[in-house]
Amino acid sequence: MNRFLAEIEGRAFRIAWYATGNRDDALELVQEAMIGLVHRYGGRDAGQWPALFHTILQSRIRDWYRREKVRSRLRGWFGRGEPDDEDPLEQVPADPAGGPERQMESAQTLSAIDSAVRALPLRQQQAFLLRAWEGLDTAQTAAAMGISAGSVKTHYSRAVQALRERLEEQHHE
Amino acid sequence: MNDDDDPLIGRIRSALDEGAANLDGATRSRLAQARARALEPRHSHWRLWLPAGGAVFASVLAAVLWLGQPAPLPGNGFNGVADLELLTSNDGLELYQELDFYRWLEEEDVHAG
Repeated sequence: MNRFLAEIEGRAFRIAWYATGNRDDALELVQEAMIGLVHRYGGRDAGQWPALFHTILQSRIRDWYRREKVRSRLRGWFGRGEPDDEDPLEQVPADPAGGPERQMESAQTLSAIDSAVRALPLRQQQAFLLRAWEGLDTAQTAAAMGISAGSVKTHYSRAVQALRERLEEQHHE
Repeated sequence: MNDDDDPLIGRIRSALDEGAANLDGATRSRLAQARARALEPRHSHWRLWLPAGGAVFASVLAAVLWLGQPAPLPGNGFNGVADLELLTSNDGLELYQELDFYRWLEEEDVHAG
């Protein structure tokens, strides 16, 4: 289990950070996912751990967005911006503001790809990361994200399209 | 085209791997701490409550035993201070055995007097 967590923690942090745009929140979400996996599914076959881990992590990310939505409404009520009635999970651009984490990227290519991934709407972004990076299949991705397999395919396809367009634009600039 | 053959996906995957591999030291340290915390054996809550629960159980048991004792029947059994006084007295037991006679005698004297 230790080896599995050590192997996955860096990528899990990046996935959570792409989603939240906040280093501390991302670390907290990863820790919660680790604890959930160890204590609830530690006895399961190790082959199931990646999908289970990402299912927990995605659940924590959704909870984070729900809390953010409540905070956003409160800010709206107290006159600091409009309350957001749209579904944040569907519409939110997962594009965190640049911060200290931004300094992690040095290479220009890495930076461009990083920006492009961060600019994707949350569900496209997470579907892409789980499918293309983590290697989950469509069914596993759907289970992890709590959506249908058809939605996964749609989000993934749109994500690839958006990334292609954006990176080609940047390449020509 | 299969995703694995798509050069764009391959490029993105490599960049993502590079980003994850080059996390700063502080983040790596926090992740290692999180992992250690997750792998700590979890103590069951009932074990933490065991001493307090034992004390409460002992108190309740003592109270039940104390309050549940049958009340001594009147004139039957050990009568505390009075019996103790009798047993430790220097007077002969005959005096106490004839106590009713002495009481009658005293009452007779009062009526006669």
